[in-house]
Amino acid sequence: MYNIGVIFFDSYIGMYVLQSIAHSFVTLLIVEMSLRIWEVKIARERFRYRLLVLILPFIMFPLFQMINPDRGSFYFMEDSAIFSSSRWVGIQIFGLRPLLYIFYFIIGSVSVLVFLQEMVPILRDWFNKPQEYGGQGSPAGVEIDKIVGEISGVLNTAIPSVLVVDDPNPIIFTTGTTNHSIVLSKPLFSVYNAGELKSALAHEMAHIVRRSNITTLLVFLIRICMFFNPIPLLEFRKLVQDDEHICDDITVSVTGDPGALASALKVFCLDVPHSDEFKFSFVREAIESSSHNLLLQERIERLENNGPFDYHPYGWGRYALTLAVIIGLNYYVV
Amino acid sequence: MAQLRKYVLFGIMIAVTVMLLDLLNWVPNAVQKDGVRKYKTIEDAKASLKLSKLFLPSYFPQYLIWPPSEVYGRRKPSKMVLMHFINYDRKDVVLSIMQAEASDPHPLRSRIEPVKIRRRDAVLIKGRRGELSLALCSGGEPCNSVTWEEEGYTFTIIAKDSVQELLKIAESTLSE
Repeated sequence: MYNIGVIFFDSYIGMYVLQSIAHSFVTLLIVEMSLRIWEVKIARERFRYRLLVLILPFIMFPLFQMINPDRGSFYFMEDSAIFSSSRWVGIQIFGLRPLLYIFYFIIGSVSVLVFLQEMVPILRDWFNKPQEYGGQGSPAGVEIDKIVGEISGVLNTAIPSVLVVDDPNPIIFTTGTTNHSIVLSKPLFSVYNAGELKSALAHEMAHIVRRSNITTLLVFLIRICMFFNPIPLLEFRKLVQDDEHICDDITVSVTGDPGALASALKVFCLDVPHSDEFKFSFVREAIESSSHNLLLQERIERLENNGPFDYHPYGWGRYALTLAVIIGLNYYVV
Repeated sequence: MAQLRKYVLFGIMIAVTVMLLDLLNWVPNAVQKDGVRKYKTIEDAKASLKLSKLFLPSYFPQYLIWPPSEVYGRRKPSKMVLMHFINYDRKDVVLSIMQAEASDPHPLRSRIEPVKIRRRDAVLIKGRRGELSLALCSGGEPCNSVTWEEEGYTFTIIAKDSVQELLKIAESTLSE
């Protein structure tokens, strides 16, 4: 038994699992501290910093091993490493390895969570959305096309098609990765005023300009590849939220009216279900709705408090310094 | 001035992170007495590992620095001692001697572990049957090794030297 659990971490895959988690923690720590020290307030910058937490731990281990195949050896740990994660999982107390078991429990739980709660619903939504609405929508009409045309002119992008679907819920989203369409449901026309409708459409077009669908898909794939790692699970949500902030900022730059977008977002706040009887489905739905509302509320408050939306010259020097420090430090984390 | 303050803060943050990682790296060694540890001297290793006998060669080529540059030892799951010796001129490890309990499933690898075995031969070391490997270390440098068993221990000596010198060192660890 020495050992199968420990020997796994001597293999390439085992080292990848262990080190990528260690690298994620170190990267997260440095990125979050850097955001505060550099006072990064602009959503676009925050997104770029946070992307490092997801991407770097995914690629650093194979890159480091390519540079120095001896990096996982005992002597590297002894002579050069500033932190060796395998020492922690190898701690033996009364013949047992409690930290190893805890570690396996954590990566097992995270893996199950990612597959059941995250991966399955997201994949289901991903595949169902265009089929549910894409082919069934009817053209939005001249007025909407005119608004979309104006926004396209400002954002310097191709005019997407706009489809209206017959759904009782307020819905608006963008489909496609190269040929985009904006899909919205009929109730939005009755609940939105002209300014809110323009803001909602501009927000969707901001997603098109940013190619959010492709970015989110790539980020999602990296996250799925690191299904065992708890950090990308948390960071993915922050990244998606940052992407929404960026698109909110672009929207405000087009419409000049953050209040209109804020009130357009309020339509999407969900009722949190409650019941006197305890039911697991209610609890789950309540958690999901509250979480959804919390993210929306953050965006609404940000818009109502005026920003910051303005773009300023990007601090590439500080970003490069942070990136170099993360890579340099993680080289010595094994 | 405000910019400079940010860079100083960033430097402090990195220094604190490094110190924190270093501290975390020290903890397992502090609580774990049975894993592989580095000892300052052979005597320390012998006393700490409670070894009844530590076999040391009486013959050392003159180019080697005594005492060993590194002494590693482990108590569990199997007792093991590994010593590295440095060449006086080259200042790199050219000889390693390992004494491990014969049942040790995971002996520690030497710093001069051969990467390519060219030939294996049976050999007698003062009457004990052993195996001589003619091999190359990384960089293509010859590093031959000899392995045999004695009193429940497996001995492995790896030397970046000729077979004659290697066998002379090996034989000098045994009294008869």
